[in-house]
Amino acid sequence: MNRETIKITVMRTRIILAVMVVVFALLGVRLFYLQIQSNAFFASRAERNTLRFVEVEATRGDIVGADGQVFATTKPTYVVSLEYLMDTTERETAIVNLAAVLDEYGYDEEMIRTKVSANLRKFEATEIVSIPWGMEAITMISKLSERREFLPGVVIKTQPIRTYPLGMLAGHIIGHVGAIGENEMDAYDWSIYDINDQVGKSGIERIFEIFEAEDSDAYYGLKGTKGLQQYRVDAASRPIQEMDFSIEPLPGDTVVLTLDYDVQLAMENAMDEVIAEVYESISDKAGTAASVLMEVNTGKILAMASRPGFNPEDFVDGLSQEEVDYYYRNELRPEINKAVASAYPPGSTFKMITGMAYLEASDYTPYHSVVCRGAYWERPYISCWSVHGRVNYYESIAKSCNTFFQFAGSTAGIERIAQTATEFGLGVDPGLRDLPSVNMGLQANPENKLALQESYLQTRLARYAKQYDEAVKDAEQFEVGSASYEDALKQAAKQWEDSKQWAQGIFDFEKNWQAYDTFNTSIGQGLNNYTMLQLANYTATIANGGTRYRPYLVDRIESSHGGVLVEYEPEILDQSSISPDNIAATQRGMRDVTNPGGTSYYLFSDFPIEVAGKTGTAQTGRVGDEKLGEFHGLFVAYAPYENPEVAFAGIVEYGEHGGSSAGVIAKAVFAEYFGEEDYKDIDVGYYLNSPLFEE
Amino acid sequence: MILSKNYKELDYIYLGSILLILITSAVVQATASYAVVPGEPYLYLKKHLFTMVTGVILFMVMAFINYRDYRSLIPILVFLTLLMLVLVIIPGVGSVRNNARSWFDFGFLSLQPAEFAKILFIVIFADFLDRRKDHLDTIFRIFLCFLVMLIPVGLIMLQPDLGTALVFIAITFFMLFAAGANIKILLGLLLGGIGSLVLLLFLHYQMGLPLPLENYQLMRFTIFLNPYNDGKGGLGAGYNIIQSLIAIGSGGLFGKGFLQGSQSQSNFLPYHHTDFVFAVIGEEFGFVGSVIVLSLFLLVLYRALMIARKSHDFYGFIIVSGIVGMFFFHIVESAGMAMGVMPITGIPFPLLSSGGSSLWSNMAALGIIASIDLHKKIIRF
Repeated sequence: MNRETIKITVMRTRIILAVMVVVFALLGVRLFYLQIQSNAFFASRAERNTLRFVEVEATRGDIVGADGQVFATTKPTYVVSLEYLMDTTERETAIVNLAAVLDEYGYDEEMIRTKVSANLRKFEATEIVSIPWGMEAITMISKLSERREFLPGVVIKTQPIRTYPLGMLAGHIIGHVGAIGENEMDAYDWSIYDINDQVGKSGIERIFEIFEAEDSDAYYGLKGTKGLQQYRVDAASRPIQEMDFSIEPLPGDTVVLTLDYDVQLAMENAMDEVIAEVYESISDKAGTAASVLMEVNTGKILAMASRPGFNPEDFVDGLSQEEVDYYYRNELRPEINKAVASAYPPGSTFKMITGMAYLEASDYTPYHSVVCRGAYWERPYISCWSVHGRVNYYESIAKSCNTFFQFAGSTAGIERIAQTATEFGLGVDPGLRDLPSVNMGLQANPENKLALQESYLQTRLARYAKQYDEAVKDAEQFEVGSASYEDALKQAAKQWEDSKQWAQGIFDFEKNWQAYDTFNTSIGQGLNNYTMLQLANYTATIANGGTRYRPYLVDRIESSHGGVLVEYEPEILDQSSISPDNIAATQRGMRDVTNPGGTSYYLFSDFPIEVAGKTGTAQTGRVGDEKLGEFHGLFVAYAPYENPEVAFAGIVEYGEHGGSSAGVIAKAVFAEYFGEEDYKDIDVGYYLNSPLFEE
Repeated sequence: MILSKNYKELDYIYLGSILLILITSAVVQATASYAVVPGEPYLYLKKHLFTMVTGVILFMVMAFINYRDYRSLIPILVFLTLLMLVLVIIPGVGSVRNNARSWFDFGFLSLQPAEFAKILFIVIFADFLDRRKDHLDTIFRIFLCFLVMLIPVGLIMLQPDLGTALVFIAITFFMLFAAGANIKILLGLLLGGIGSLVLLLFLHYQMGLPLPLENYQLMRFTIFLNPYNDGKGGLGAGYNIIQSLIAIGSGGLFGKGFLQGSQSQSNFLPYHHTDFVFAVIGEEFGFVGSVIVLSLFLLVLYRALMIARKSHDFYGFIIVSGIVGMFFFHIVESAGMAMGVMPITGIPFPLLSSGGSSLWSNMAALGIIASIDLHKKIIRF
């Protein structure tokens, strides 16, 4: 190299060095800006990248009976989930191999793939299948464990699931849980719920799902409060580390019912036996029944049952086809709690209302008598089921004389009867707040008759209007404007006009309360329609001398660690205006029902506890039933006659006689309640086929 | 022939800092590739250590070969370079990764010919320039040099590999500058090139001037200006930059520590063991670590230039300038991209990124510099 070249070399080396130093320095400045100046900002962004909160389910509260029997609780279930795998090949391998194991449980690759792609929260594993703890679960888990290495991303964890150890027992009261339905979205507070949550769908499960405390802004209820667990996740959103920060879930509260397990069991067993016998010997329409037992001095419901039965356990894993048919394609509507939701004609069990109204309204004493010649003496001469001869108030209750009570009803007048019914909770809100779908029943009175007739009128008019439209359409088969067309139109218009007049005529006649309406009402027919809950509380109100308590099913709410959060006390809803004497006379009449000459003497003749009751045989009022051949059997009763404790009301559809059907249930329930061991076994067939029950 | 005095006068600072960089590289790869394949934390580290060991052997081989001997082999080297670059773009011969046909896949290992072409180009181009060193003073003559460069660049753009093609341009500028080309002309070309690129992009975005590039390719080039403006709120083309900025920025003064970087270890940051490896250094070793790493490289480049000056051989000097230019561009582009100040081109960080071809070619290049040191003419006054 010559001197000149060396000079260039040195100079250019310096320039290159200088450029490099400057550029590296600029990189250093940039580093300083990012790492020192903006460190806090980027550090929080990094944290936010990796931290995720995952909700931890709270265990749902238990529902227990008065003596602690568990009606609803939560048990572990094994859930097989698939974590989101970034690597497509790995993911496919997992899906294919998982499908091979789950094949016998009805899962194929496509179903698993659909579930995985439907899960948008990729940092949470996708739930594939859940199996309750048991042999099946053990088999499946061991199979999965054997193939562990071929099942990347498959996790098995336990998850709480609702279970109902007593199955069908009190099933209608307990209710069931299910996923929040789309039509329920608005009903839930989305700060507490999320879309995958289970909520109470019926019964106690629904009503006690969640509610605000009266004296604080805390929430009580079965639901509980979800916990939060913080996880560190990777870019594939897989949890890689459980963080210290977590909020423990708060288990839901325990709901303690007023139900007496033993009495409930006795009630349901008796109902099943009676229904089976009625089906066997009376009618294949049998299958439906409802009954209630409550404390007369508190309003506590000790037992309540409805048939056909409802087993909440069926709903836990989703209904099978057979179960769907049973619950939703069944004329007998097993999902309905008929004890509170279905109103029935009370039949003769209504007669005490008529009687008390009569005693209050008139100067007659209970000893005033009339002569029953087999029918009432006024038109339309509604018949009595027997010829009773001269009978007074007591005898008339005991023998259930229709003639006397039509006389009593017409003496009292419909207003008085309606008022008395109201005082005893018939046709008004029964006050039970612990269950959904509580029916108010329908009282027989002029307003309700008018309203009913108005609705009939509207239905008829709508039908005729439709007929008219059809006739006009038919007229179009003729040439428009032709003579036949005009004729057909004219014909249709006339027809419509006539029909309207006819419907109006019926309405004008039927809208008014007639004397025979009072007669019908007096013996519990006509518009009268009440639930067994209402009849039980009405009986309890007679038993305790006229105080109507609020019926209730929940005694208290306890927190998961034992403290009582809410305690429900007896509450008086109404005080009857009937004089103590008249109530006492009615009580005596009811006692005579179970005494010689009474309609259910043979049922209770040897029963050690003195029972006051009333039988009822009600026309079903259903289209297709024989008006004088098919009857529902009803029975109301309380015991003991002196110092009463409990009141009962029950109905057995198509049971024909109240005493021999519902009465048998009452007897079984009383036997259990009072601990009368000898009377717990019931011989349904004996009573049902006995000629001694005439009414 | 190597004189024993040459061993004594070897630049041990140069060799020492390379050794330090190699140790750093092993540490960085141990953490950067740890979480790339779940369940196999040492898969990439093992490969990396293997390439490092073979790379050191390659370095020594290159050091003992007298670099001047290459000059007699120029036609063969040219043929070899063109053969590699042509073969790789033939479908069925070269294989495709990340949308570019840049690889020879031999099953047990795969090579990126463009990486080796850089070194061959430097050796060839240095000879070309050395022969013209006194005539690089007109635009036409300098332009002719750029035409030579356009042959490999054109072939590489057919793969296509924009990043590596840009490296060739940087190398060419450095070598022309070292060869004594007219500074004003060089500067004019550099600024003119950058200026017209900016003008083209400006016209495209503001006036709708059509460009022969897909939108996503342009986006990759400009997204670093505002990574959130990628049409997907930072989850599209801007994602890598954003994650890289978070990684570096969250590192702070001393970093989160070995294996402790959530951005890298949890795979929020893609390509963090290859092109974005500098972000791992920033995240886990902080400002201090990053500055030390950059300083080590600056030291190596400085010593390389000193070796070139002391070699008293203009051919050697131009070679070193080309290698320094190559390293410089790689470092600035790769680190700058991770810091959000350079466009995304996807080229590795020398010696630190995972990848055999890159490491071998870099070790070979450093070996050539060592050869220049070892075969220098001792001038006695």
